[in-house]
Amino acid sequence: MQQRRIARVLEAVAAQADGSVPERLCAAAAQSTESFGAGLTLDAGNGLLQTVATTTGGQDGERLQSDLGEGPAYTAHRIGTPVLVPDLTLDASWPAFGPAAVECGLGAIFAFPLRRGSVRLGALALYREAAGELGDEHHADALVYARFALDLFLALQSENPPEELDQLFDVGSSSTAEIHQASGIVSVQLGITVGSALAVLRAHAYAEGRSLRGVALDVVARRLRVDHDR
Amino acid sequence: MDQASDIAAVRERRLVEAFVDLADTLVEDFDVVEFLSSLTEQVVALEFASEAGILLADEAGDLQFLAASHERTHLLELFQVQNQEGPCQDCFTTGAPVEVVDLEDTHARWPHFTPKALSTGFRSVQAVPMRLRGTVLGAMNLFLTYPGGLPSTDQAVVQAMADVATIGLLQQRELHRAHTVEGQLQHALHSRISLEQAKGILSEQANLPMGAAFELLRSHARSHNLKLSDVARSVVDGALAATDMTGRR
Repeated sequence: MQQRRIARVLEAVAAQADGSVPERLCAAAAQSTESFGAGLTLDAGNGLLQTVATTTGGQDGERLQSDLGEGPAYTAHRIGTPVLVPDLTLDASWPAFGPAAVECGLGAIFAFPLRRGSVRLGALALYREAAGELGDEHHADALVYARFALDLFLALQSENPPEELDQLFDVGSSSTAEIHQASGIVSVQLGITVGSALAVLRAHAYAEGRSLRGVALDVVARRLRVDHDR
Repeated sequence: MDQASDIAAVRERRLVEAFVDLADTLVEDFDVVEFLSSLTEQVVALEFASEAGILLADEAGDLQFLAASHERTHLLELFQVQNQEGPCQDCFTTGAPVEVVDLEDTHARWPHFTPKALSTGFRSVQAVPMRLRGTVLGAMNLFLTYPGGLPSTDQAVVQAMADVATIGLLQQRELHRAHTVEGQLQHALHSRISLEQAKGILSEQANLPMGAAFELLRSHARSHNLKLSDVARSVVDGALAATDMTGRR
């Protein structure tokens, strides 16, 4: 299955020379998808997206979207699905951003929301100078990078951010209903957001040497009550 | 007219009505999880199976549960285990229907799925692929409480219902830019996740089992003429709590 894709993404991020994890994630995403640049944005409230990491090649695109308050990342975050623009000259969706991006030398942009159900954090944007489709393989990789970015930011928001990359991502554990139900349960128990609750569950699982799924099953069965991470 | 042809005529009429209902829904604004739940309920109401469910592959290539004829925990577990092994997994991998006439004979083939299915009371299974132009998106799974599987005359109709499910997945109107198949599928998967998050919240707020939490979401959506996914999102965002929906603590 595609556990190999996930493992490859983790390796690619780990292999980046320097920078924070979000910066390394952007660099790896750009490289893997043969993009000129990449940027990560988070919802800063009031419908504004704030760039938290970008490669050199992604700076123009990120700055433009931030200045103009519109663009593929904004749309992807808002509607919760990928926004693919293989040719900026043919897309009239953003009257201000579109022409400005073309003028900066950008040809294509592909934006992916950082989303898990109703948890929506922001977006990952890939920038290219040449127009052209993203391609199925790169698209599939981008989805995994976006998923990883979401897990990363949820973890960084928690009280005890993990230090190892593989703590941030359940390579072996598939998404299950119990994990999401447990996130809901813990969010009510601790008075935190569902996204934060997911990070708390993950931190607990790692600390106890258990699978996230096992912990979630116990929470849903009311055999386990998780505290704030210590 | 003899009784057998009476029964056949009634069933045919009900089948036509079911397809007309599904088509009517597809041209209106609809909620994807609600639509697929109704479709699987139709499969059961038309007596093709005792229970039915739909699985869809996510971005990691794992089969994820989307909707079923009943939101009961033991049934959902039977769908979830199939992201590792089972008739849906085989169906998804090969792109061909998988028929199991007797689960007593599949212990070696599916050592985890088989005992679970048997202990839930099922004896035969059918999995049909959800396909789009040569790509397999997921599978529809039917469970029966007796051995033998589906009669061959029913299999074509069941495949047609799975095809209707695929069409439904690609008709989600609320996505104004996502003309890609990928975007539509992603949205459906996230709708299901959102529903599970909301179920968890409601179960804790109102001390309910998960099945009852789902029913609460669904009845609130129907009685207020809202989409199931919008209600789920309101619950997760904190705009709607169990007390708003049940009127009691």
